[in-house]
This record gives sequence, structure tokens and C-alpha cells, in this order.
Amino acid sequence: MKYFSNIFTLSTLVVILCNACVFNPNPIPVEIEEVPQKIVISSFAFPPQELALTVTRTFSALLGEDSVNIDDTEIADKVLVDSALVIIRYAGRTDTLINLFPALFGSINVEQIPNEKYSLYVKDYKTGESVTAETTLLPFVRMDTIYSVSEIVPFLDDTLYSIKYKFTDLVGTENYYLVTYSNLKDVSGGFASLGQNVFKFNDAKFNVFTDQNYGDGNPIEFRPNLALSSPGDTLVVGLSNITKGYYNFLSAYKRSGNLLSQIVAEPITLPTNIEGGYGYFAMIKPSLRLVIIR
Amino acid sequence: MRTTTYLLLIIVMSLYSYLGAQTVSGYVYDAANGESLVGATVQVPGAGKGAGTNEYGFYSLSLGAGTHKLQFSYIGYETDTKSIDLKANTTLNLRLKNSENTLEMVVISATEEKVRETVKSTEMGKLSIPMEILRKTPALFGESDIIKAIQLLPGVKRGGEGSIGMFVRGGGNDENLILLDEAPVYNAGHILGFLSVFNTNSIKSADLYKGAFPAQYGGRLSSILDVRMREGNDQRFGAQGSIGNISSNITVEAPIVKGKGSFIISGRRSYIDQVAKAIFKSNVIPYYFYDFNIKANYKISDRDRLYLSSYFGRDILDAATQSDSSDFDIGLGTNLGNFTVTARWNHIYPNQKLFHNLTIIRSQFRYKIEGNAFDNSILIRSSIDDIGLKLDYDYRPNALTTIKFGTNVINHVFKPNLISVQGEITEFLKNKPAESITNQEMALYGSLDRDMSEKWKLNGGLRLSGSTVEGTFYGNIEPRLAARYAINDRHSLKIGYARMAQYLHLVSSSSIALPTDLWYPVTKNVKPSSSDQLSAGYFTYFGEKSNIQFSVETYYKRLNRLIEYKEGAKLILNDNYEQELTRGNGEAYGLELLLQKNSGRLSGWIGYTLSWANRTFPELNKGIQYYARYDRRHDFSLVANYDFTKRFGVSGAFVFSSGNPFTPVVSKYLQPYPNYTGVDLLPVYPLRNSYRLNNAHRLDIDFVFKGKKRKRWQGEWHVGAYNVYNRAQPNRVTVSIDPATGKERYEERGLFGIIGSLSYGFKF
Repeated sequence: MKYFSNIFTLSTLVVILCNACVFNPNPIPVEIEEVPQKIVISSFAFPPQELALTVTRTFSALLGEDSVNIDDTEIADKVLVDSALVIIRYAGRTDTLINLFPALFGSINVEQIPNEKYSLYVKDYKTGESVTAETTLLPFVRMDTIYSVSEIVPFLDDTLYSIKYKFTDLVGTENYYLVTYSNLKDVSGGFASLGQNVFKFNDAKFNVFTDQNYGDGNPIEFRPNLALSSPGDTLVVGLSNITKGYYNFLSAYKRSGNLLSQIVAEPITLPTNIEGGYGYFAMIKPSLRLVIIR
Repeated sequence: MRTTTYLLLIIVMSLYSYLGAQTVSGYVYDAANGESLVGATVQVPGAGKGAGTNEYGFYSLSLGAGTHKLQFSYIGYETDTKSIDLKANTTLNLRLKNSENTLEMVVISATEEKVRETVKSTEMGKLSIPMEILRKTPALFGESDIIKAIQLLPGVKRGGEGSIGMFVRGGGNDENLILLDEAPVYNAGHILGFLSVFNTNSIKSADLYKGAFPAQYGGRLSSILDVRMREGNDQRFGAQGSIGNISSNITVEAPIVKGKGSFIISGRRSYIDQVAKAIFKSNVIPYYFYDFNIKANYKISDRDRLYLSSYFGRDILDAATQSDSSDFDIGLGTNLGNFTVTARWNHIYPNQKLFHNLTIIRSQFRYKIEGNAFDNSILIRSSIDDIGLKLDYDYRPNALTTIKFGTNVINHVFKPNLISVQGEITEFLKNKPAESITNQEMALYGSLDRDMSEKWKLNGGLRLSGSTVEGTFYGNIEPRLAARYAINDRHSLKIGYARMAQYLHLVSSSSIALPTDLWYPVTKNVKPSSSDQLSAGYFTYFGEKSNIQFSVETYYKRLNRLIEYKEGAKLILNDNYEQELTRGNGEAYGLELLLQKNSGRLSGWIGYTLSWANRTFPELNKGIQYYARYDRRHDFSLVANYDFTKRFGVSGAFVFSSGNPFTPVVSKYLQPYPNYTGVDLLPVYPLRNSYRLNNAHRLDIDFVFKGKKRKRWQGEWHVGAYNVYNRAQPNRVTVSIDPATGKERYEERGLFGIIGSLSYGFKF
């Protein structure tokens, strides 16, 4: 019996070692054709009439997060659009956005008119590619109450800081809402702070709601999970009434954004309203409130 | 309606046209151990009359009064002839001798008979691998596995490398009903699906139906794998087993009362955990599996026999980390597996023409995941519990007709995702009781198999199936039809149609298979799926000894109301999974060639499949049709066993398959957050499954050295290798640095390189 035991112990060990170290088959190099670069649009509006737009390009899937360093001139040149015609048309007016930083275009003259349709045209001078998009700015919704809350997490010997807020659903329509949570220091510098912060990998902090579960015109109360907030931080909380298309985009973005989702969830390419490109062009008029975390 | 009327008319005609004929019936057994032989043939030579034994070894043949010569044959067994003076209904049980020590000619005769039966019957889309061939076929880790052997046959595509996933004629992995002694097995894999739960030494037969389904089978869209356990030796005590790299097993069998009843017990356990423990002096591989098969049978009389069989298996992971400091205590454990019990009563009615099998079924699948960190613990538990009753009748009014009818009902109780937490973690994760979902599945079926003329044979059937859940009833009418046209003794053409309905779905991520993948029944919102399959084929046999069989089958399958997961769907521990589902249709079509030789020094088969499988879901892929996950254009397999001498043989399996479709990330972009305080790196995918991995091919070999036969002990060594020329079998694409250029590049990687194996099998 010992004879058999020795033989099989040895052979099992040989099998494991051979497979793990010696006979691991060589991977097969493969070409996946690089797809043409496309323009990517993202927009952000401040009251009363400021609009920021990022214009970037898609890039090779071979680049991972570690490789995408926009301080690297070669990468920045490939990814960030700094020479483009960016035009907004609405209410019979035309406004051309100016380039503030690489990939960041802005204007302080885009009036936010509820139920108005906004059209976007972008032409990348370097590649000759152009994209268009349309969106509607929906009526304003006001944040009713907002306050800081804290909760002790005993087994981690830590305290969880967050906020609670309440607003009232707009009556008569199917509504979709976006609530963003920004640290004051990241947004207080206006366009300048956007230029410094927007291309850093952080944790996205926002929620999207539909009013379907609350009933038309009822109050909506929510406590987001803001575990990374620290006492003393001042949060800028923005509530916006958004279109269904933007809601679908943000919902999909929220699902695809974290690593676990990218491993175990089904693959997803985010929906877009950019004709010929990616990203989303949205006009929003947020109700902004400040809250100090304590 | 008209079809049903014709069927009834044929049944009535069959019942009355042979009144006055006498019937000989009984069972055909293996002389050495009393196992009933499934698919043995009983013939009246020269009279063109004959019958086959059913899945319980029963045959019935109605003949005119007088003296008849009956010839009994079965592949691998010596053909036996008996003369019978038939004056009244007679029982004739026969024991056929194994061919091990008989002349090759006699064996060939039985093989030829079996091959001829395949050409003559209406059956098509059915695959069987003789257990002897299975034991010779090379296998991963040297562990012979019935499902992996079936994957080498045409029409069946394997899933990931080394996995037991089956994709039959363009269907999904959850569209296969796997039965072990008639009990459904919900999780057929050990070691995350690298090994099936079926211990080869305890299996008597395994038949895979992939089209032209007989009416007694239903419940899944794409295939039925009917695995039967051995019954045990009713003549003498015996044992067999094997010691391998991954696991070892032993089987013991003996008579309860000689010639009347027997039992068999098989056990298997992996021991890589113990080997690692012995080598590294710590629990570095805290995983093992084990399973048991137990079966007993007893003949109460010539006409009654009882069976009791059970399977119990578990996969156990027990990883605990505890430092010297009592503050650090983290553990993770899983425990999952199946438990089945089947009790059967076979009865032959006094008219010798009617046989019934009454089955009570219990099947259970459970998984448990436990974790603890410091003073906190979490337990997640899910289960499926089935209790079912099945009654099948087999009526053979005459030599030309077989009527089968029956009913079955099964009660499923699903308890998904019980969560129990203790400690301070309860502040954040709430206890959740497992909410039971109960549903019943039932079916009523009837079929008629009849020789209409020398040329034509028909098999028509109807299955009425249904399921109740949450006060809703879903029903399906499932017609089955198969016809054979005999061109001559050696060539036949066949055509078949079958509708199948499925009332359970597996909620599983397409990205990775997890033990947390759960079966759920249909609900008010998730309706049953169905499939319609039309198939046609040409069957023939040839060769000097008529032991080479060749078939060409073609099929078209339509899959209706399939479910898939929405893009970005989250499936783990998601009780509200219905919201993540979307519905669509699929189609599959293809051509399958099989050249098979089951006897002689050289045995094996060559299989080839040319196939397409598509899916169309309005909410996926922009509504554009896309290739199914394991759509592979070409699959080729060559399996050959050659016995150089009685004690030394070699077998090899060469497999080639076109690359799987997949959806790579083709580019990326930076997406600023809605509040512009950061950015995410997001992937861009092309149309779903629009790219293909490289073709995969590999060669596996196995050498067998049989020891000198001693008085009773018989041993054999198997030395083999998987993936002999060490080629990656592509299953994923990764990005890595090209050592030559220092730049990133795409690479396709496989899971296993060459893997040697050594095992020792014994029998006494």
C-alpha cells in the first residue's frame, strides 16, 4: 500500500509542477484590429449659464488605467482634443465654446432655458471627424432638505459619515433624477478646478432615480453611501431633472463602472446620444446645496 | 387533430390485429453479474421479427403458436439461441455471456446486430458510448468521464477547456436535462465543473438524446442525458476501483440472494488536499470532493423487481486562516452537492405484453457559503428540493409495434439565497430568510412505434407538459414524430421532429461559472421556453464484418422565448433577477457525420460537425442577430483505441474545433463623472460575439498495460497525457507585454498545458 501511496504522491506532484511551471503552454499572439478613433463628449452645466464640455478620443484597448497618463505628451496628444470647433445652438442662438485646457471647452453664455432643445456640433480639426448631438433641458427641481448624518461602525472601529436629503417629485410626468456629490474643493475653482480634476481616477459619487417607485408628486428621501467622506468636508450636492436617455446612460455607467461588475456582469457598451461618437451630451440645471459633513 | 385520430386508429388496429398471438417476454441479463442488458436484441432469424430490450432490460415478442428459434444478442456478448415451443404466453429470461473469452466472430455478430438495429430503428440523434470504450478513451488527469467522452461526439460542443459544460445542437448549457437513474441532477460537476459527478465504475449506460426525442423525455430544450447506474453482481462478490492523480474510487458489489438480488456501493474521493498537506505540512489546498453511489435490487418474482438507488456527493472548501494572535481569524468555506434517491418497481403484467416502471424520485441540490472575520460571520445558503412520481408503461402488442405511455409529476421547492449574519456586520447586512418558491411540473405522454411495411417504420408521439407557479399554469403540447425509410438492409433514411418545453432556467453569468448559479422556475413574468427541431439523416453500415457504422444527420432547431441577461446585469445574490432578464429567440442548424467502430482490435470513431447557432434579442446587440456563445463552425474528433496484444493497448483522441466567438474590448475612452470631479476608463465593445478566438486542437493519449490475469485479481496501469504537444486551447484574450518589442499585445491563453497522468485500475 505504501508503494502505491508513494507512486501516486510523486506522480501528483509531478503533474502539478509540470503544469504550473514547465509545460504551461505558450500563449498565442493575436491581432485584434484597432478600430478608428471616435470623438467622446461629456458635458457639465453650472448655474446660471456656464457650460463645460470635454472632448476626447477613444484609444487603444491595449492601454490600461496605469498607462493612461495624460501628463504623457504622446498619450495626451492621442486622447485629448485641443483643437476643435464646438458649437451649441438653442433658442435661435449660436454659441461657440472656447478651449480652456486640453479637452476642456467652455462658455459662460449658455442660458439654461427649461424645455429648450440644445444642439451640439463638434469638429476635431486634427482628425477631421465631427459629431452632433441633441438634448433637452428639463424643468428645474428643488432640493427641499439636506443634512449630515453619521453612524459608528464598531467592528471597523470607524465612523461612517453621510448625508440625508429630501425633494419632491415633479407632478404629472415620468421623471428621472440625478444627484451628484462633490467635494467643495474640487469644484469651487470653476473651470480651473475642472481642468485640474477631471482626468483623475477617483470614485464616482452620484445616484440616479426614477420616480416610478415613489408615486407621482410624492417626496423622495434618500441616504447615499458616501463612506469616503470625512468630517469637516463640505459637500456640494446637485439635484437635476434629467432625460430618460441620460438616465439610461448613467444607470449603465453606474453598473459598468466598478471592477466587480466588469468581471462578473454582462459586457456593456454605454448608450450614447452622440451621432458618430461616444459619451453623452446632457443639459442640466442642478439645484445645488452645500452640506458640511460632521 | 387529424394526426391524433390516425394515431389512435393505428393503436386500436395494433391491439386487435394480433389477438390470438402468443407472447414470449422476459429480461436479458449479463450472465456474469446479473445486470440487465439495455438494447439487447431478440430475433426470430429468417422471420423478420424481433424486439429490443427497453431501458430496464425487458423485451416482449408476440409470435404465432408453434416452435420458434430465438436469437439473443448484445454488443460485446456471445450470441445465444434458444428454441421455444410457444403454446401460451411464456416468460423467458436469458443470461448472455460476456465475450471476453469467446471467439471474435461471435462478438462481431452481436456488434453487427446492434449496428443493424441502429440502421433499422426510427431512433436518431441518440449517442451512446459503450463503457468499455469510455474506459479506454484518454481523459484529463486520467479521470475517465462520461460527459467529456460525449463531448467528443458530433453535435455536442464542450464549454470552457476541461469543463463538463455541454452545448448540444446550438443550445445552452442549461438546456440539458441530466438524469441519474431518472432523478434530475442539477449540478453535474465537481471541482468547478472540471469533472462530472458520474463515477465511471458505477455507471452502466449513458445515452444522450439530442434530437427526435422520444415522447417519454422532456423538460429541457436541447438534450437529455440519461445515465443509469449499475445494478450490482447477483452471482458473486466483486470489487473494482482505481487510484489516480486526482481521485481514487472503489466499487463493491455482491448478491443479496444469489440470482435474485444484488447491491453495489461506489465511493470516490479526491485527495490532492491530503497530498499537499503531506508535502507542505499545511492545508495549502483546502479543497476536496467525494461521492457515493449505492444501488440495490431484488426480484420478488419473475414479473416483479424492485430497485433502490442513491447518489450523494459534496464539494468542500474549508479555508481558514488563524494567526497566533487570537485577534486574526478569517475563514471561508463552501459546501455544495447533489443528493438523489430513486425507488423503482418494474412489473410485467400477466399478458406478458405490458410492462410498467413506477418510480419515486427525490433529488436535492444544496450549496452553502460560510465566511467569518473576527467576531462576524456570514452564511449564504440555497437549495432545490424535488420529489417526483413517474409511471411508464411499455406495451408490445405484437412483434411490429411498441406502445409507450405514462405520466410524471415533480414538485420543486426552491430556496434561493438565505442570508444569515452574526456580529456587528448585522448593522450593514441584514438577515434574509430563504423565501420558498414552489412549483409543480407534470407531463402525460404516449407514443407508438410501428413497422408500417418493410420499408417504412413510424414513431409518433405526443407529450402534454405543464407547470404551475404562483397560481399560473403554463402548458405545452409537444408532438414527436420519427420515420425511417429502409433503402435496403444496410441503408436507411430517417426524419424526425420534436417540440420540447422547458420550465426551469439557470441564472448564471455568461462571464464565469460560480457555484452560486441558481436554477429558478418559470414565473408570472418569465414564461417557459420551447424548441422545435427538425432533423433528417442517412444511416448505413459496412465493412468486412459489418461492424462499421456511418451516419449523416442534419438538423434545424428553432428556440423560442429564451432568456438572456441584460447588458450590465448583476446576477450574484440578486433576488430580483427577473428585472435583469430579457427575452429573445434562437436558431441552430448543422450537419453531423459519425463513423464508428465499436469492436475489433481497432475501435473508436471519427466525428465531424458543421454548425451554426444564432440568437436574436431585441434588447441586446441593438436587436441585431448574433452568434451564440459556443457557436463553432467546425468540430472534428478522432478517437482511436488499438489493442496491440491482449495486455497492451493504446488510445488517442485528436480534437479540432473552430474558435469560439467572443466580444473583446476594442477600444477605451475616458468618461468624466457627471459632476466633473474625476474620470473613469470605460470599455467599448463591438457587436456581441463578433470576433473569434483561434482554432483549438490537441492530442491526448493513453497507454494501457494489463497485468497477468491471476485467479481473480485483474489489474491495469494507465499512463497517459493530455494535450501532448502542449498547445494553448484559447479560451480568453489578455493583454501582455511582447518580450521582443516591449509593447503591449493581445494574447490568447488556455488553461492547461500537457498534463501527464498515471492510474491503476483493478478488479476482482
